[in-house]
Amino acid sequence: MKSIKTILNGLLYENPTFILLLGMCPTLATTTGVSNAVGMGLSAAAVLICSNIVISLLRKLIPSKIRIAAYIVIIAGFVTVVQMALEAYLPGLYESLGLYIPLIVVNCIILGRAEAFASKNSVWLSALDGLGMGLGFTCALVLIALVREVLGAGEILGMSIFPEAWNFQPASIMLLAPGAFLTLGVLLGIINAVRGRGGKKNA
Amino acid sequence: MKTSNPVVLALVLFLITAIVTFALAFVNSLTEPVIAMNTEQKITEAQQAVLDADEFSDDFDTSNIRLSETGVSVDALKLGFTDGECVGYVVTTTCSEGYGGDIQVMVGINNEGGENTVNKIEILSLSETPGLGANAQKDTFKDQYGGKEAGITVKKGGGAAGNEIDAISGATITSKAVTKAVNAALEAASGVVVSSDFTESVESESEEPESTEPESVESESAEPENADIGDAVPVEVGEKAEVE
Repeated sequence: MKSIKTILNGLLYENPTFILLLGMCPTLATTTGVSNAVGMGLSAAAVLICSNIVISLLRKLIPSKIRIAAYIVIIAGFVTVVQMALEAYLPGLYESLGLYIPLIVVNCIILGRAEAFASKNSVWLSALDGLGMGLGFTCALVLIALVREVLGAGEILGMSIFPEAWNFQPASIMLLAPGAFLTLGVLLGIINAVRGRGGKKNA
Repeated sequence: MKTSNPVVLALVLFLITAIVTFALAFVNSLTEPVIAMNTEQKITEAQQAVLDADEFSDDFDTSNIRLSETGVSVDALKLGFTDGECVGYVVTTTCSEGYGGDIQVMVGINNEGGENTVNKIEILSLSETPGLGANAQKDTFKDQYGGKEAGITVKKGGGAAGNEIDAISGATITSKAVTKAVNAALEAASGVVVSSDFTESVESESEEPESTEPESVESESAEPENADIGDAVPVEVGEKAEVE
């Protein structure tokens, strides 16, 4: 029961992008297309699960005074592994994600979950937390990327979706940085409006 | 673990870093050869896509090539052979004047009767804006270069004719940078025959034997091939220069 709750927590109630507002830099930068968003989300999820597991395993061994340094080393290690693996086995994805892979190191979702969850919970729950948070991050990225790719390029996964007869003119601004802010802002507004209905009573 | 003994702290952190380092070294040893193979394969595929030739020579030394324009450099130059005859060049150039930095372009150049024309181009790397400059990777843009000769110019707003290409809408800077790279490639290719200091570099580079047999001594562009046959070189280069 607690396992399911932990996963749902990351996916919905504490969605890292839409609720916790963590990891905004990769969110804004890599959501120009759905394929990039999936790649970034899953790479971050892989790192998150691995780092959560290892940090949870070592949580009793790492002295609290040097825990941040230890977490960063572990996370950076996993990120580098992911980077090398992507470059070797998925070069296409590696090229389009480029600079953002090393940026996973400083993605505050990962350090945040290490500090807030993995350092206090069992290995199993930490792994599930990593899975939930990683999938939550991926879903959020895909949602933003979907909006941007459809409006900005008229495509989904690089395939044109509008019939030519419509003469759809894509708004390139949606693919540029302002489009990322616009999309994120509108989506956050919608989510807050939906949440506000149920949440106000408790607040 | 609660301790504030600095020696223990340092030791624990050292252990963690050491383990991570070894793990990374291990993964690197697994992936490095694959990455190197990928890069090589990508270049091989690209050169076969840009020039219709059976065999390609090794890279020539391009350090002596001097281009008339700045902001662009030649990274690699090869010859393509079909049935032992040189049919053209594959030149890789980098233009640093893209909107998002360097753009590396591989240009296949046909050489027919001494005339150099672009066969096809391939963008090897670029970091242009997705949806705008990155559209330079689309065939509709790249195919425009086919058949063009040196001195290609960019036309804004469509309707390119003659030796012009249509700029990508909203990405004139990218279009100009790619064009500059292509022009530089054509210039470098023409230098293979004309420039005397380049032929020197061809000589010095030709120590390793090429797979292609130099049977086409009389053919119009066989000169860099002949560089392989040691003493024949000066004569052949001289003849070549006259012909051109």
